[in-house]
Amino acid sequence: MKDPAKSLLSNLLNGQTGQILPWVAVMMVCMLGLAGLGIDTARVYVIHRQLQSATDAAALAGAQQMPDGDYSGIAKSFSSGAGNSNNSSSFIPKTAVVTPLCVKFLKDQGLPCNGPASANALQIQQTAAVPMLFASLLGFKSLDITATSTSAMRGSKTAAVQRRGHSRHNSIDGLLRYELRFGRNAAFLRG
Amino acid sequence: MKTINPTARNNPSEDRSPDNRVMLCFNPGVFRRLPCLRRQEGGSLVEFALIAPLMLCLLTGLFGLGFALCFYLQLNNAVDVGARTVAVIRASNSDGTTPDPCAAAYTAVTNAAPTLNKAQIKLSFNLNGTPYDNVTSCTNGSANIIAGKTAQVTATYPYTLVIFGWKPVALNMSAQTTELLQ
Repeated sequence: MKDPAKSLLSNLLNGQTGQILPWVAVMMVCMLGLAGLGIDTARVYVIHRQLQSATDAAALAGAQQMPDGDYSGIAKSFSSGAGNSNNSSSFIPKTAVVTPLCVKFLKDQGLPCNGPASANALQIQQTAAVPMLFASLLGFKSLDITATSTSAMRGSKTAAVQRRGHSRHNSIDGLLRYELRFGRNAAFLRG
Repeated sequence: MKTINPTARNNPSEDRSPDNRVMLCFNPGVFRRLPCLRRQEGGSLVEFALIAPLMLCLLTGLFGLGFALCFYLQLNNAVDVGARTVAVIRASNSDGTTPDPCAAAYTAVTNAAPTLNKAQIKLSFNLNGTPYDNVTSCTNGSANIIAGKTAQVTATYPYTLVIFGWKPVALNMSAQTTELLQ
């Protein structure tokens, strides 16, 4: 008795009619799958860029309020998410995580770690679930991406502010003038 | 020399010769009268001719979509750079004055997106609540660069997906970033 599998293979290999159409049908599934994977990956890159932009803006905005202001609230208001300044409809972000940091090299440059959080920098981390378009057919419904941004608070040596008659951290105006006098000390780090 | 299965002579359905397979499939009289239609040479060419336009459209469409996503990524990155430029531009002249924020942002955006057509990038700003739509410079914009206020930069860029002259989709890509003025 002839093996049906061998017979099918033999027909595929030796038959002279309809060879291309079945192969194209099989290859089309592979090609469309790869194309879909490429499109989904490109979307993830675009959305990651948007999330990184929002996170950078949040870190800069929050760091400006440090150390005594509402840095966490301001940072979140500039992050991505419903009702925030950098919201996007392309993805669903989770609430930004705000972490005050005491960065040593900033401290060495005269930026003390003080305020309620004993910090001289602010780190924002935001995660978003990117819904997949084509990969969802293979079971990957969404992909979590994360953007992290760190920004140093303004200011430098305390003496200069005292010379201007402002207390160290209770006046934004004082801090701004201080920044103008000593240049932009804020280091902007991206992680 | 063609050999004929002796049993197939009495029962044509058992004749598995290639010629007879075609006859069994189509069987109308015209195939019997016009033998040229029974020839199988060039079948692959015909099938390729059927498939090629579909494949070329698919490939061209994928290239077009890839370019669109590449441009969109560049536009998002450029707007981020432009917004950052505006955010830190306050009093950045050597004499302590503030330069034109829109012109500085336009330069930063176009430099950050070198493969985009500069003339087609439309920039709009909202500086401290004052809108400046479709501008490349705003003379009075520096007056609205106030620390603690917001600056919003929006860029749009048109893109039309073209597949062999057919234009199925005309996109107007848009990217926006809001920053706190430092």
